[in-house]
Amino acid sequence: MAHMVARIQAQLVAVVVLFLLGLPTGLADESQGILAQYSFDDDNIETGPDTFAVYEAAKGTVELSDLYRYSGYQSVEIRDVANDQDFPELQGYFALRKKGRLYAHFAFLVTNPLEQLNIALAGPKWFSRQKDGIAFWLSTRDGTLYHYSDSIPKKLLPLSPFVWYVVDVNYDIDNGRYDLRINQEGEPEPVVQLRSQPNATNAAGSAVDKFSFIGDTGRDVSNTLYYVYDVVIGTDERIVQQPFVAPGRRKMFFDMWYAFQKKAKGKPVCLPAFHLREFGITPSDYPLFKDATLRAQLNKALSGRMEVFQSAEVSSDRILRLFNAITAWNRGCQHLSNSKAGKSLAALHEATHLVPDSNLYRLSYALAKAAAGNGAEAEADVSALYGVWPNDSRLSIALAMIGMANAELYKTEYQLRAVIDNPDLHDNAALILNRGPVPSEYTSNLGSGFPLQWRQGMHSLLVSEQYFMVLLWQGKYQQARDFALGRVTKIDKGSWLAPLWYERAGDAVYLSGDQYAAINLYETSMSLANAGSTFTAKLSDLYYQIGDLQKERKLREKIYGTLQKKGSTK
Amino acid sequence: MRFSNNKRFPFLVLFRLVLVCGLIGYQSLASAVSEAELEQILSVQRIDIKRIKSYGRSAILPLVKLYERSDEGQRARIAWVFYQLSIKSAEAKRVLMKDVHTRHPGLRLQAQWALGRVSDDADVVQTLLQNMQHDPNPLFRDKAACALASDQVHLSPVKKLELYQGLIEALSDPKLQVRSIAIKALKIQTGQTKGYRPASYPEDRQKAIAKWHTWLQEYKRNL
Repeated sequence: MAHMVARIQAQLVAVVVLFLLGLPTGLADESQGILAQYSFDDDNIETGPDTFAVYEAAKGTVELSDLYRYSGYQSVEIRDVANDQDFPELQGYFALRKKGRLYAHFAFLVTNPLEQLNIALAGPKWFSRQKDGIAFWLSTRDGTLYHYSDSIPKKLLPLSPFVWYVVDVNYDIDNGRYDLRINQEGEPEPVVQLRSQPNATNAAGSAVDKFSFIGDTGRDVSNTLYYVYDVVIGTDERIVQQPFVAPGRRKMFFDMWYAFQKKAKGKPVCLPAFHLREFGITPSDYPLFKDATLRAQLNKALSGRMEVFQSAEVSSDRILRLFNAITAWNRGCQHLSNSKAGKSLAALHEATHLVPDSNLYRLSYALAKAAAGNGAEAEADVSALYGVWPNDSRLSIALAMIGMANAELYKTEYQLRAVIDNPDLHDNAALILNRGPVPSEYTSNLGSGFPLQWRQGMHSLLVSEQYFMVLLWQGKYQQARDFALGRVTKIDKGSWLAPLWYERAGDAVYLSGDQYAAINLYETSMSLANAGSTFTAKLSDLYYQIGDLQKERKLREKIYGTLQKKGSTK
Repeated sequence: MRFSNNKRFPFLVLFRLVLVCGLIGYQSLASAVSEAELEQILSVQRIDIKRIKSYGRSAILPLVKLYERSDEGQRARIAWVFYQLSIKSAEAKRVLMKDVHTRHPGLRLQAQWALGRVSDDADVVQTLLQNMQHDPNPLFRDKAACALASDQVHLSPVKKLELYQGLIEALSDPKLQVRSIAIKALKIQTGQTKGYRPASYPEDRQKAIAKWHTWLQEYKRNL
């Protein structure tokens, strides 16, 4: 059976996404000393063409994550699964360096130090043990980090979970030696500082042109889950070796929220995809992408370089449908950005028709409806997605965009308030929404039992949240806080809505500048049942901001526990 | 000898063989399989290795039983299956060790290659080192070195010490062929030769061997 590997030009997806958001795209700038730079951040993209590839094979995954971040919005999550006969990999490329010095900088965080991972810099002979093969190699075993120097695994330090480690390598290619420095979050001095170490095979002149992050190296015993951030490869030490992040430099969830607000400028635009499965591509499709032609076609579709695929070009009907859905989505998003609502609707409708299960397409289509003036239907569409994307921040952002798209904010606020104050709707919502923990299939369960009331209840919930968002967008933080706390008093503390509205109140208070009051509200939310992982990420950010790294670390562990229960970050 | 040179990170032969032979994901909770069923699969010239892999560890014991009542030709085929499975098994090791000195060429090669794939025991490494240095057949010596270079996939860094010690000692062997295959095995394992050339003058060889001993001490110190 064919080896199950999908090689994806993730950079193209990122470029497409950022283009759609109206952000500038960058180019390689070797004159500045940078060969490759990835922060996996929507504000800071990689430089250079063909800069990295993502290998997702068998059950392992490589995904963006906004839950564990070093300084920006997102890190890359690498998850390996034992006994699945393969491993996931993030592999990046840069211009070949045969001489001189190379500087590498990156941060990583492990969730379980006992699970094996490997990180390497290598040359044109790939990851073989020879000159121009593997040059720099970090590995974990039994909870300890090792580096391979002179073909010998040498201990560096025991790793702690949920702690960021920043690695700086200064590689003297001509002499085949490197300096290694590792800083640990919360420690003022480096925890590792080594000079002039022989490279992995003690081979002078061993060239490098790639790096790699994986689980284990072939024994297929690793269930590692770790995060990588801020990979910089360059020839100028001053640029590559960045100062250790101090509290306050890290971008917060709210910054991401406000970044989207700024970009949106009052009109809906498509929100980014985070994974290929959002385009309807599943792991069972990956073997098909072994074919180079098919892979090239996928890249074209993702990059927006194709309008329509013909059946003669693609052998599989299913793949043809997926590709044309991607191109339709790209077209629709392009039209949406250009305020061509009619054309956007047509293209995004086509995408949803071709791949009805794609939540991304459904969300995008809803945004197009809002842009076309059909806000009510857009809201209904988003409500249908809450059950399958309960913790996805894109839904909240979409609601805010819809709210702003339909009318001027004060009018929107007025309309929403009229609905909020309607006692009939409120009672129905209270009746339905106080029924304890809400499962992910919430809407369908209620839909079968209470056809009219659940629609009103869901509508009331969505309207409440949208009204709250609109207050935030207008900077009415005190009003938003009071509204959120007002919702709490009308809700049974056992309901899943109670922690949600405490969290919302915390959001408003945070934005007003009172970090400690926000912490109190978030902790109140956390003390109730069903607090989600997005919420704990916000609280984690706040502890980081006030410098309580111990509590922040505990919350990372809590987030990880949440991930383990759900089995996925998204 | 077979050499490993992969474009994916794991440069060990296991992964190379994956590329050559292909793998499927088989579940740890595989269903049980009978000897009869395995015999049926093995009766076909082209063995359906994917199907055997789908049984996972449950295939090992029936394969061992089949091995014990099969002729040399069939045992060679089953040894190849053990190799492909790469599952540690004391029972598989036991039966393979019985054939590690056989004069049957096909069976000898398959048994030598498969042993490191089913065991990380010290006596496997020692036996292969002995075969590499002392077997009268140069082909068997060469393939034993192959197995030491590429197929000891379960060895931890601690257990690799014995492997490295044996290979470094073999650098002083009076036979040129043994010295050649020993340094090749070391090169595959470590990426280095430390300047050792098997056909150079003894004093030059000794200098390089001294470097290897220094390296070995450093390796031991880091365990």
